[in-house]
Amino acid sequence: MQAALRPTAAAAEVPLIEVRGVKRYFGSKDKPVRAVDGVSFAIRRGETLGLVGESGSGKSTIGRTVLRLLDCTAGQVLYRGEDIGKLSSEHMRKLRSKLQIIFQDPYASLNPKMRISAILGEALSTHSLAKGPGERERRIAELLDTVGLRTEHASRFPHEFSGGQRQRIGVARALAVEPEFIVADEPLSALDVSIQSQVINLLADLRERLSLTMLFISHDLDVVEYLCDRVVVLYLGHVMEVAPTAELFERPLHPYTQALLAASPKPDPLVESLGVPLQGDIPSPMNPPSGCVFRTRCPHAIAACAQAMPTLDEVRPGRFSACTRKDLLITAAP
Amino acid sequence: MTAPASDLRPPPPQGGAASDPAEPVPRRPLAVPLVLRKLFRRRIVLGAAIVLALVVTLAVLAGLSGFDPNETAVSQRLSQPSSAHLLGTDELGRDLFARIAFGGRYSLTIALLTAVGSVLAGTLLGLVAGFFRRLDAPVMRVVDAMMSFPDILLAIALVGILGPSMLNVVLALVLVYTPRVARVVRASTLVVRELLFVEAARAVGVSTARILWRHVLPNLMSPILVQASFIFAYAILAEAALSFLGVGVPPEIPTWGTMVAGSQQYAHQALWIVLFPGLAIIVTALSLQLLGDGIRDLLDPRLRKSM
Amino acid sequence: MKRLEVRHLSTSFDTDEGRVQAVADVSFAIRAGKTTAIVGESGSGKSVTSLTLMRLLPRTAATQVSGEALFVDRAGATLDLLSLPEPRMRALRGNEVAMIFQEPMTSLNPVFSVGEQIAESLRLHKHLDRAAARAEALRMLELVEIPAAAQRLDEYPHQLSGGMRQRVMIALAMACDPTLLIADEPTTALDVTIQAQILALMRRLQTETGMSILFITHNLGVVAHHADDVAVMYAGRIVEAAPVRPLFAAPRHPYTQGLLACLPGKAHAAGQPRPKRLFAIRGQVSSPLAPPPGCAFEPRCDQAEARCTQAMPPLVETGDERQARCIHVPAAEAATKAA
Repeated sequence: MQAALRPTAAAAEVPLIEVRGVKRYFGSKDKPVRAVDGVSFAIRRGETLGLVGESGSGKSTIGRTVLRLLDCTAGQVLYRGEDIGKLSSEHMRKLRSKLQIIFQDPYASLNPKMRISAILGEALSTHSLAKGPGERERRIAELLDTVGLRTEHASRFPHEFSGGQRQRIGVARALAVEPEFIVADEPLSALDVSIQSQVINLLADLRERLSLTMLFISHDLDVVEYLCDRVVVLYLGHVMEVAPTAELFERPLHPYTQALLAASPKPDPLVESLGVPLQGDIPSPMNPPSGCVFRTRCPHAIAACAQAMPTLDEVRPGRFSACTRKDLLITAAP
Repeated sequence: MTAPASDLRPPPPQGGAASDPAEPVPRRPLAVPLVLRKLFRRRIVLGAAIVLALVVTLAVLAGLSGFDPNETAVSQRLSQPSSAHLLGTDELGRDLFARIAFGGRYSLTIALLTAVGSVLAGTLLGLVAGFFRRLDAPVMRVVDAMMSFPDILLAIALVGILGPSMLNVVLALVLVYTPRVARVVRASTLVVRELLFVEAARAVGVSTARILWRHVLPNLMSPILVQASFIFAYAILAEAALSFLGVGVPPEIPTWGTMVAGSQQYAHQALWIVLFPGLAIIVTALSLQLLGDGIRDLLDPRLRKSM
Repeated sequence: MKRLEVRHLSTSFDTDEGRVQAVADVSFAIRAGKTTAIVGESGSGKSVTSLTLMRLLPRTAATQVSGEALFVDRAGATLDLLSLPEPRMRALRGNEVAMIFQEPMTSLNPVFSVGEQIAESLRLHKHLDRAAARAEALRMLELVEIPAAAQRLDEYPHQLSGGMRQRVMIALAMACDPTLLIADEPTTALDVTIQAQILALMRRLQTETGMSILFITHNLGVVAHHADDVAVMYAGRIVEAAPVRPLFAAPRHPYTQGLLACLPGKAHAAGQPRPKRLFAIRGQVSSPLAPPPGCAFEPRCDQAEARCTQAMPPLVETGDERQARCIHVPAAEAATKAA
């Protein structure tokens, strides 16, 4: 199944990042919080993969396990085919220059006691970049310019900047170490709408210029639709559906994806909202339903759904869905 | 009337890859005057700071003046406050004002060394216990053991064993106050450790040592500073108590405590010889506490805001 | 009929760094049985507006409020909320005028059961005895579609999920049959599928009870589908007001135009191909301590002229139930609203 999840295009090339059967539990052994409960996907070099889900989906946890900021309870994370969980801490530390993250909260992700020049300079010196007199200042100025800030901003403290500006600084810090891969963990959620589009443009520009591979975690479907090549839909620590963006949004195959899309209001009063909202609450990851975790809220659930968690199958070329009700797919056109 | 922008016009390019350079951020008013203004918003804190400054100045000047606080003039013993002797003389005719000024030097020095020592030791223990999960339990058991002794008794025992001297008093008091600092630092470290910018530093690949030094420690300064100011105040009182009981510094050294101890028996005759050193103790300790209150109030909301 | 008519509301605060004008010259109306949305980003003053109307601002000398908020109560009397004596205001709050907030966990008292909190409001405003209040509280929980309501009555806020807590907040607000519900970002902290449930619930309650809703949000998608009238706020002022469909179809103020244009969802909804670059309003909102000399939006506006820096444009009526605060939008022949 892992092989089938790799994007079909460059099949010979090893995916940059591969997540295999990753599980991450928190808390006590007998009743753990199953934040991530068996997730697999791969990211090809140059691709932007979207990870969407609501609370309890495990998307942020996956973001952190991919970078080994959290260890996996089970499963593996492969970078260029190598299991990063097996690397020594020193080796991992060096590898971090290739794998970076942009955080959700621009207010908390910058040390309030450090000037911007110190924050960026620390990133540079950690990986011995920009040695030599003046080289550091030059590189910092370059980074600030890249993200749309000015050189004189380097001597200021984070609290002197707005949320959008702080997020740009976060991006600059991630870029300082010259990464190949960036996890963007809900980078827009804490920003105003008018600032979000600035940052979206920035990320899109940088992605193209620097040939970055991205894992874009978000609950905002509109942004995911705009930025991502493929999308993974998560619910309660499991993958529900994987598909190329356009196809996912035009014709979602999994009932959860359908509900998610129906529930997101489009900013146009003339576009009718579809369907009845999903009933019930999101179950607790400590107490997930037996069988398919979505069955308690699924409008199409049948008795068989309680038996076992359906496997993620390739139901159309390049499209994967974890649903017991294969019969529903017949009615949905390819 | 302008037609709405139906095409998505890109904003005018302005240098750099990003299309939207940041607007100038209005600079906040200069930090230092603002900090002082906020600190001294309550008059009483300002008053405490002034008193403290006076005491310190006096102590410093005393050292520079060349007076000998032990110079006796038995003919003038137990004389009341007058123009010649501002605060009177004690039972050996020594000028009380000079003695209090000198006493300030010793008392303040002991208290300062105690504060510094306990902050250093306590911070080290608290940081290690708070940051490294596996070391938390063992370190805190040691700290708990230190805390289980009542302050004064522990100090008395230590000085009793080691002998009376300034250094031993400082040592004993450091031992007494370190656990308090360690607990506070550990609690704050537990909080700071989970903050996002610490995780961000880890994500960049910053080494643990540097994270502790550059990211965690500076964000512990607020609680540490508050603790330091309170310990300073308690140490003044503790030293006085110990010296009064005769288990502090040797009686030859003129600290405020030894002054009160040595002159007790004459108190009924000449109240001022115990009153003034006593007042010195109270006023200094109180000022330090008020200043500590002020610092804590200043740093608390800012701590929340900057975090 | 207008349930609430706000005229020239202004609120300013004294802070350590100077006087901040959080809300200035805000005028809008809420029709009976309809929903008016106030849309704005950070610094727009939308939350301060609602707190001012409810008189929930800290009562210090440093806070200055001016203007009128004319509210028509159940008996048909017109009251100015801003100048009512406090006991009168307290009788209205939680009764005819109810409010729900963004973060239900902090708005509900953690040491009382949810049933008790609803019952308290009923005993206070409707003067019911304990038994009757409890029965009514149960009815309210069922009204907001909380499953197993009888059991939930004695549960505490921390035992409920975010969506459930928000339903409890709504139950608390609905307990005394309000004629005006002020909802300050009620679904911002909720997941999308839960948000849809809560919005559907609010709409159903509105249809059943005929109450008016003042909905404060930054989410234009929610506004598009759940509001009848919209007021857009920027830097403490209303810059545009219109019924919802005309606003989305033809926004007039450059800020509104920019806001709608920069949404990735809007582009796709129009059926157009994905744009290479999103429209972005350049810069950011100015600090309230250093407002621009003329129009507050001028530094970020693509249609700005020299005139824009001279004076704040007045909010003018354009005769089709719409208003705008921009020199590019001329007034109708009828009287203009003074700045």
